[in-house]
Amino acid sequence: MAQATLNTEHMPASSAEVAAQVQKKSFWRVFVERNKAGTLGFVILGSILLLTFIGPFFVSGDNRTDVANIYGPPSWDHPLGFDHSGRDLWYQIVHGGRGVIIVATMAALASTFIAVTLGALAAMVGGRFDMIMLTITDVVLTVPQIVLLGVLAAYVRLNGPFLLALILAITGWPVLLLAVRSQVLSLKEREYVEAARMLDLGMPRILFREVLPNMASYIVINFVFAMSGAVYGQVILYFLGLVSLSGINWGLMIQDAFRRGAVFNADSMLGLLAPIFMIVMLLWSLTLIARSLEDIFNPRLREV
Amino acid sequence: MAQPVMSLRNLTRRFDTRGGTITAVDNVSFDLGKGDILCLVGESGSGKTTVARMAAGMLKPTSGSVLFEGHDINQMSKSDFHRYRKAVQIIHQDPYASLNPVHTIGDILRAPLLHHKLARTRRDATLRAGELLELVDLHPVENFIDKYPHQLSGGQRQRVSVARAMTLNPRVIIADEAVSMVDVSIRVSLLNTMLKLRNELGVTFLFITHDLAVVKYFAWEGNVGVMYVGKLIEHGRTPLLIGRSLHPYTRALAAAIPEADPDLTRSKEKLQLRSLDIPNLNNLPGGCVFHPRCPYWEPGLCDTTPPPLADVGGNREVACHPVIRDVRNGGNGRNLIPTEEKVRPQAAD
Amino acid sequence: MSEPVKRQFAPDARIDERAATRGTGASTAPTILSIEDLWVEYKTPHGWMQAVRGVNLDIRQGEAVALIGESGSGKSTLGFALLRMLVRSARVAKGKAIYRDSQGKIFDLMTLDNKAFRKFRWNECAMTFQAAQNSLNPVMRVKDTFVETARAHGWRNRREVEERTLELLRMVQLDPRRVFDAYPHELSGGMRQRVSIALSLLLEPQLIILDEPTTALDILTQRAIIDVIRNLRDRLDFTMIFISHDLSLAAELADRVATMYAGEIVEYGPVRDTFYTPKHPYTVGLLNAVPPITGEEFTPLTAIPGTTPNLMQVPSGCPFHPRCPYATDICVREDPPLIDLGNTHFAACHHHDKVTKDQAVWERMEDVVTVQAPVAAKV
Repeated sequence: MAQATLNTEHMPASSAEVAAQVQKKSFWRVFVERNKAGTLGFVILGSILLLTFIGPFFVSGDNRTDVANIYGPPSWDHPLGFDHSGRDLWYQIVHGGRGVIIVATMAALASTFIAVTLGALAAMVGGRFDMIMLTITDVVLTVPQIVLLGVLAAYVRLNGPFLLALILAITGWPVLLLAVRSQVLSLKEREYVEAARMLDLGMPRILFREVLPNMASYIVINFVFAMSGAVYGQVILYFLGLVSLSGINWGLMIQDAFRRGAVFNADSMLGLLAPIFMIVMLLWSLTLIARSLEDIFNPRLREV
Repeated sequence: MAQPVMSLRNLTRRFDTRGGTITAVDNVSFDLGKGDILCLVGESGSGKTTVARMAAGMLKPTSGSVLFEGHDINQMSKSDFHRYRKAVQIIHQDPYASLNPVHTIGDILRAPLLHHKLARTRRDATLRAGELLELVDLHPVENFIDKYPHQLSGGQRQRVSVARAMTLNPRVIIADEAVSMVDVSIRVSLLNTMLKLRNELGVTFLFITHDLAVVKYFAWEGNVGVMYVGKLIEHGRTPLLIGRSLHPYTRALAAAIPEADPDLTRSKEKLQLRSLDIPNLNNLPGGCVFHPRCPYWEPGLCDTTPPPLADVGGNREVACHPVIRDVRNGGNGRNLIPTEEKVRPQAAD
Repeated sequence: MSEPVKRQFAPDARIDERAATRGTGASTAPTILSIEDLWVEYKTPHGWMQAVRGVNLDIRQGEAVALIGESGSGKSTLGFALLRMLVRSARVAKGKAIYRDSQGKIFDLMTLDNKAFRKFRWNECAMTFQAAQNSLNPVMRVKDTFVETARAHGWRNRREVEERTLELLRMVQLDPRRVFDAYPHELSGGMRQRVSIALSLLLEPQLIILDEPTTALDILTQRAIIDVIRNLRDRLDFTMIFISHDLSLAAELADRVATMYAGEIVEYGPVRDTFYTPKHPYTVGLLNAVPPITGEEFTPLTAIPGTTPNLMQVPSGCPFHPRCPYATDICVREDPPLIDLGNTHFAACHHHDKVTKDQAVWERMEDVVTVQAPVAAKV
């Protein structure tokens, strides 16, 4: 409630002083001060990217099975110990993230692209096109995502990251499309959009310069959510064994450990927990970032 | 007489609502010549904004037509329509919603110039944008051109809206409550800026407002149309219409407005209406739509026959039976006999 | 808690007496609210923004005081601060609001504990908000809103409350039969506004604060609200502070007018003095910008140059000096205090003796362009 004390430190002596204070703070400083969660998200994501993209150049070794090291305990050289086949878990964690992140990014890019293009068009054009788009979206939405993933994966031989990303994108776009469509519908009624229509600036300009930029934060936030969706999707596909089992990958590690009964075997707990931990951190950082993006796109904050 | 720039002919617009079909605008007609100012005045639900949107081509009339330079805008060839589109511009009410927050003032002004090839290069467009900012009294230009809308005050933004409307050299500007959200101290200079466009460039103004005081200042050399639940009920030159209004509704409005003068406002003669309620558009009263509130209504006439918008001389039109009769009998249209003796007044509301 | 003391309506003779002294500055009634050096500030990403900057104001019992100002003048913030209803990001940094309650007890509203303050709110002082027409609980009938409000303050006799409610509804020119059992959505905006005014009177507070009571209402409805407020003031003995951007409303209803600019009160005086012989250039500027309706002649208007200041960068000295035709060097250096001009008329202007309603001095002034730095979030 009300404080009855004079807080002199906040009472600047002159307006010039205020002006100086106003100008001094950089955007990032304001962001960090205001948005601790978002900052944490960026820090975590940054560390994960560093570990998985730069890490492989420094963590040497190999992924050979070695009977001598089956369920070997953690040591200085092998911080996470060894799995059921005597493979180095740390090596797998460092080398096994890149694939997951790349596929998730590609899938999110694809589904965002589909959703934004078709959703915005449906809202701007309206009429029959809108109706058709809505019907297709509804049909895709009514099919449970996991089942669809499963069926698609069963028919298509998933041996490349592109195909995997595509499959994930196909199941990922409908929710975003509906969101984009309703957002465009509401932005379309804004007075500045009406002014652009009065100036006869043409549909493309109105869509790309007047409407979409105002949705940038919204789209990026949804892109980030689509990424987390794609990470989930991959884990599920790996876990169900629907993706060809080769290479090093966090999803594979989970599936592998689980298949070997890691839940019942204290020795192999690390083999299960380490990749789960990485995926949880990845998803958490993405969520934190998504929540804080509003601040980044807020021009008031950006301007300072 | 020269051909009007824009004419509205028997414009009617109905909307389907849950409560049935409502007539938001009913048979409204008027002409706008070059450099004319017409203020449409009315309270909420009067249909003034719907008229503005139809005149701007943002809404199609249910019947009747909007003529631009003599041609119906809803039946024009595509190229004529594009010409009309550029010649008629809107200024919106809300200075915080009418500028896109992601563009700088310069971008906002350059876009139409470049799109319509009024400027060949970005440099030309910037120069022209600067001229436009000068035109709306935002100087020095370099303080504004690279700013974002949120860095400007409400009044300054509204000036940018005016400048944007001027980019394509329009013949008509439709201002929809363009000053009602601007602070009092800045309102006058914004009105002056718009008057300058009219006086120096011959821009025609259709000015929508609920504020008779603003009308009196802005449209002193123009006309006022008073709207009530979708109908034009009085129309005439501003000084007379405000100083000596005829329609009981207009008289009630003028009398109800408080003045910034304590003695005057407290002694001002009020016209007591029979009811405060604006009729529901779903269920309009028969006869004259104003009769349930009118202190001068005549049973048997006003509740059965809708009055026509009749010429009462001096370029004035009024839709009111008692006024029309008084004028036809040689009166000035203001000596009406209250209905009080015949009908007991109901309590307000 | 005891039942509120029933206050009698004033006899007709007192109405005339009150009407006669109204607006002349002649009131000798005791002061019931004394605001002393009040500062209110909002937290923004760029630091604290002072919205109310050192306001001093005495309000006498039975007076109607208008707080007039444009957006950003701090008038609403001041009202909210008095009732301690500021948003979370705002705080009273300094100052007192000394209040004398109906029993003659004196206390500072800013330091009162929460329990005592709840009692103060409604019993002593009620506020209706801007767009009060939308602040009634939509799922409660009008009568239940009244009964619940009374019960929350210890008045439990339902029949008495209902009787009082009917009486109040009649006083605000509403048909009690129609309104009493109605839900808010069944009433028009103007009717809801009158219901909330009636509600604020339920516990017979000494002081009523109305925030923009007529804004966003149609003209004829505004007129009805004005007439209702005037009528209530004639019949009930309450003190009123109303906050408005509309000078005409002050001319209609106020006994005294306080003009606010950039968080400061720049002029305070009896309504006729303020409107006929304003002594602060800003008040003059506002008056010159408002056109009268009455009369068949054209009234030239002059604008105040420039724009209202950004509260993060209030100009030095007198905050109005960049827009003022009378400004000299001293105005840039020193912020003038409210100077007593006699007849309880005060103006915060170094050149108050030169200020007249003359318009020519404004027209000669070159348009000042104030360029704003990034504006902090609008609060």
